[in-house]
Amino acid sequence: MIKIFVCDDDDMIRLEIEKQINNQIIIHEYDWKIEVSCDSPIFLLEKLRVQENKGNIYFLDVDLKHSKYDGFSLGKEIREIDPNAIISYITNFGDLAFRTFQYHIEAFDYIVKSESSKLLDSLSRCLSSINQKLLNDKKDTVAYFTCKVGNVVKHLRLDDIYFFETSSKPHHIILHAKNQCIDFIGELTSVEKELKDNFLRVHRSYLVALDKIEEIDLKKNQLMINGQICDISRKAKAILLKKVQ
Amino acid sequence: MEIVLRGMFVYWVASFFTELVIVYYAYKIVNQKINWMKLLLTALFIDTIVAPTNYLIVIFFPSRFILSVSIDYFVMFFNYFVLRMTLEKDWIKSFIASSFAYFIFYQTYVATFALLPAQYSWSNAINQTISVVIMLVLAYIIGKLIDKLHVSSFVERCIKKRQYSIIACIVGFFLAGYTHFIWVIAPYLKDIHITYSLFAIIILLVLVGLFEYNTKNIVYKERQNMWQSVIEQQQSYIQNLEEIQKNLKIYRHDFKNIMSGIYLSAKEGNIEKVKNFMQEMFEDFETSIDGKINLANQLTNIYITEVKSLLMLKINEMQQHNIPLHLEVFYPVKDINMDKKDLIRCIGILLDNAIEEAKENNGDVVVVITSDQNGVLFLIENSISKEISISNIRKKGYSTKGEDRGLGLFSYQQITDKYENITRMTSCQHSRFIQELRIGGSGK
Repeated sequence: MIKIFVCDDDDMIRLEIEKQINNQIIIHEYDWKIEVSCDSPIFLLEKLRVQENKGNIYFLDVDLKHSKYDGFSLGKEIREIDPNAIISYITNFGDLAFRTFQYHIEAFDYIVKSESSKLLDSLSRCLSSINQKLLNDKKDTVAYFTCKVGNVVKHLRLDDIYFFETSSKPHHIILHAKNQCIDFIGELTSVEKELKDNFLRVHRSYLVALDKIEEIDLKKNQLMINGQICDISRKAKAILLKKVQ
Repeated sequence: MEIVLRGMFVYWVASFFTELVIVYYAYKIVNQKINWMKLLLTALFIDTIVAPTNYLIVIFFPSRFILSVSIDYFVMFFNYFVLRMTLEKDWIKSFIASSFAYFIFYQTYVATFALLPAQYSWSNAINQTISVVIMLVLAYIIGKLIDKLHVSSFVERCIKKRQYSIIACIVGFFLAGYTHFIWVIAPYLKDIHITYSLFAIIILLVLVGLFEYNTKNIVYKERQNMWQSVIEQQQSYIQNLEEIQKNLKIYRHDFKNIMSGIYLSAKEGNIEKVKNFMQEMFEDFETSIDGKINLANQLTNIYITEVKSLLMLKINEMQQHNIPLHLEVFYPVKDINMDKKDLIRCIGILLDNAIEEAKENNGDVVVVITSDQNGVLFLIENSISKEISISNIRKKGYSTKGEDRGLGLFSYQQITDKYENITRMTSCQHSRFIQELRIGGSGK
């Protein structure tokens, strides 16, 4: 049973949302339950902290009239307590900076509350895509690599990563992945320890995914990966050859 | 032999300080942050090559005019050569910096004569010590003066025009060896040291006056430019407001009509019709006014004038080309831990690329700016028509648009590489191209 938390200080809207969620749960036989529905972010956080199960579903108002929390900071706090939370926002039209929410809180979706017909529409759509996501997550057992960029945690499929490279700036690492190139702060040695299996430190500055190597040039002590060239140190060469064969 | 070696040693130590002063001035003239370690090593290196050579030549061939001129120029050119390698890659800029640094140093050095005991002799250790101390104090003061007079911006201006840069180089060249040109009239003067000092002080004062005059001009012009851009900014802001006003007028008219429609329907008790009318009203409001108000609201959250101006400029450009823009500035952006000029260049490059691509594929642009206690994030996203190779994008000259392009992203990387508090991310997924620039450090 997955628990749902709702926080909106407009009583009418909150009751409407509660009602609609309960209806949808009955119609689609979702294995969910509204645990808390309240107007105070403090109350919600208190209730959340005593929960054992995490990975809950949240519906938060963007414009909370609270001295300490607005929707954004409440979402951030929830994300910290419940890293796998599915957070959706309730908003009036137009005023939502959804991309900001998506980026910083990994907000899942938003529901427009300006009219009840629209609200029902977007709420049921949102619930069904949450359901879809939960089903997918269950099936999805691929390993992820996580790194912190600023205060945002990025998740990358290990399978998509080509190689890591030290940057010209101290303590910066450049991650080359499928369709992505990320610069983050860390040490290559600790990344190496974290990843082990498929990854080999072929050089002081390179940590490469063995199954992604396209070519090895033994004369020049270089290897080609995703069209880019990495150096191979003399020490790593023997290990590399053994591992590849 | 021993005397020669000892004299050479004293000279070497003393001229280490003079080298220090020259390099220090050069740093100041090109306005580079002083790295003391590098400065000391540079000075030591130059000194170790130059001082013994000089000393030996002067000892064995004293008072030869041509020789002493060529020694001076040898020292200056050697300085130039080393500074070109270590300090400033632009060869004109580094020539101006090293020749003027050499000249100003010479003035400082000669000016110390006025304060020294009469029996000055340059292989005497005590005399040298006094001279060095006075010189260092003077150098410190003059260094401050160079900062204050914005000499670096003057040099910057010089090298922008070819003529000016050539004139500056020639003037620098002559000034560097000017003491020898006074020497021509030396026989007619009573005390050569006093004359030198006087000349030195006069020339320094003239230079100060010149720079002061020039800086005032430059500062005035820069202020004018700034006002110009502020005015332009205000104008585009007013234009925006006027447009909202105009739309409001139209909306007001429609509003009355719709309201009377609603009123009639309500009177009839036709709830369905009332609903439809209201729906229409909402949509109308959203398309005609809300978007514009929203954009204006987002911009008010940016407190850095330079960034705001740039965004306004680019917004105008996008409006002209009918490129839809989604802008989010959720929290006030007040302080960014990066040089403003660099910041503007980076954001400009990213925006230009996004706009150009959006123009070509009739796509849209998204800009998200967030500020929090960890720093500021710029996210610039555009739709793309064809896949972009992320791995190639870091290479110089890579471009999807053929030859002679792709320098923008390269210089973007070069600039951001200078900052340790910057992290970047590039990604390209689901036909969207995203560039992230995160500037750590002070945020809100």
